[in-house]
Amino acid sequence: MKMLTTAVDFLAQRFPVEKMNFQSMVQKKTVPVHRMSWAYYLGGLTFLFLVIQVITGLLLLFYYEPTVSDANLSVEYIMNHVSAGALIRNMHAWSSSCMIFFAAIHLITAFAMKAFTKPREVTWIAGVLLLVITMVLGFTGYLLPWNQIAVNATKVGLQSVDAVGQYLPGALSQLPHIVRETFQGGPMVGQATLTRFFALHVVLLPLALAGLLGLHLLMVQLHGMSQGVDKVATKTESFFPIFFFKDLSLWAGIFLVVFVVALCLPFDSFLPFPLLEPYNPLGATPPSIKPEWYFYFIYYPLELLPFWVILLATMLGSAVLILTPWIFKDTSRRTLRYIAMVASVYLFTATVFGQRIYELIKK
Amino acid sequence: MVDDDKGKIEDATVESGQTPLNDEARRHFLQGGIAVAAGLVLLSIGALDKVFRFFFGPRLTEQEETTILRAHVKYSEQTLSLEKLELEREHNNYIFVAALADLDQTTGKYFIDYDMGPALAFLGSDGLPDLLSAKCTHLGCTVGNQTNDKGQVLCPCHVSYFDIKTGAPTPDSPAKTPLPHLGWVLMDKQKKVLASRSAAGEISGDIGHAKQQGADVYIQKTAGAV
Repeated sequence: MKMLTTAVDFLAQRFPVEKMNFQSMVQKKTVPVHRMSWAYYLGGLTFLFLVIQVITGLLLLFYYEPTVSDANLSVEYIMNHVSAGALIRNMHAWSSSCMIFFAAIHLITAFAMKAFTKPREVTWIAGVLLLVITMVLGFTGYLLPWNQIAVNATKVGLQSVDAVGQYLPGALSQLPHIVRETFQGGPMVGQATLTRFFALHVVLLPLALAGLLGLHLLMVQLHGMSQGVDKVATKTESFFPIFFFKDLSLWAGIFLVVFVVALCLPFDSFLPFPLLEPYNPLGATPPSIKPEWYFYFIYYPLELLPFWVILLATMLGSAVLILTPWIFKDTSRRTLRYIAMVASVYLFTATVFGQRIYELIKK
Repeated sequence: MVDDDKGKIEDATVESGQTPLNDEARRHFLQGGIAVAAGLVLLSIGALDKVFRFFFGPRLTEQEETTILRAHVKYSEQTLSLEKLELEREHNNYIFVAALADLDQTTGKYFIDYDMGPALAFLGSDGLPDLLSAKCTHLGCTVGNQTNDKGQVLCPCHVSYFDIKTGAPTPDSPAKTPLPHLGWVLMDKQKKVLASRSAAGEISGDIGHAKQQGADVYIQKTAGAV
């Protein structure tokens, strides 16, 4: 009975019914103005990139064909023949990277600003899950052009799931294998895998993302912006219309930048091999194969350290991220900023200098 | 003079209820608004043209259509051939790999094993086939088919080197287990078995005779396969 009362109290504080009205959630909402105020725009920017993803993704569906014989050809068709096809696909590719980048920065700054404390635990957990779903969307979307790199990258990703089994006891050791086969849909990466990844990428994951995002935004509007800094801000601005229109202006500027970049710079231009080389099951994995940049932070350690170390670190990291509202409940913002800075330096170094560090160590 | 002007402005304000400064601001606002609206109209025309053509679909030349159709046929045949390979592995006890004479010591020939996984066929230093799985034991990428000067093949995904004789990875490779060797069967052109080697390395049959006969290399279905 006591547990039930505690659970009801917990929910009542996180979902205050009395605040669920337009006046409280929009008209009366204010945004603190201080030196970290810029961080309040990061969630909105991530949302903008999601909107771009949804629109460009829907447009790509008009021409993309999810079969192993036609997937690559249909992408080539979009790029070379469809009016504005290359622009739409480039925007989809660029904004997917931007979405992951801004979601990660949003998470780090929210951590540094201690925006996860009571009653914002649900907001935080939903945010962490949203980042995970965004990265899985990146992983599933990577396979869809069905080229040599994409298929091999998917093999590695799925085999990583399988490799977890060796560290689990008894019958549990078979579980990762079953998970891998379920997603793979057959003994090797093939048509069944492409169909499953397509369904995940365009239906299941977006639905899960929409649900979680709804919850996340509801929480943000219910509880307002977190204080963000130790000293309570003396100045505030109204969420509507001031902050809202500032947000819209920023979106317009960023959209213009993405539009121009997608128009002038094909996303594939950074790759050392042709993205449109179709997958050949009788071909070798291309040399210098790498995952997308947002997996470098785990890719290079995977090359240098034993798998169990990476697995342990990933599990610990995930647990800490989910339990952050309780683990760091009493930690000062100053300490949180240091932790966030260390994490940022690691992510930056692994992403930008990972290859060089790897070469230095291997020599 | 200044006082007079001030007096006029005040008079004008009283008469019209608005200052000339407000009028000027309104004029600028209207001009700006018209310019933005005109820009938006032009942008919409351009965007609508693109959008319309996007949904309408491209108008291809005959040559472009032929090229696309050819590519479609090529990829469809490739897919079909893979399905045939799968069917072949379900029903046949032996799968052709290559003619023994076509195997090379430094460049492996890719083929698909009974588990539909990639495999490599080399010619060993003893003149016999050397067959091993090409699926990296680290995380499943397909290893390369060119050996380096140490007789090793590379998996480029996480840089593991494997010795093709033993299948073993080098100590500093992320892969820790060897690439499994596959057994083979040598047959003559009438598909008569001349010699064979099991995955464990046990040889049976007349190897010398098989080499002279210009034999073909096959893999044999094992109890666990398919």
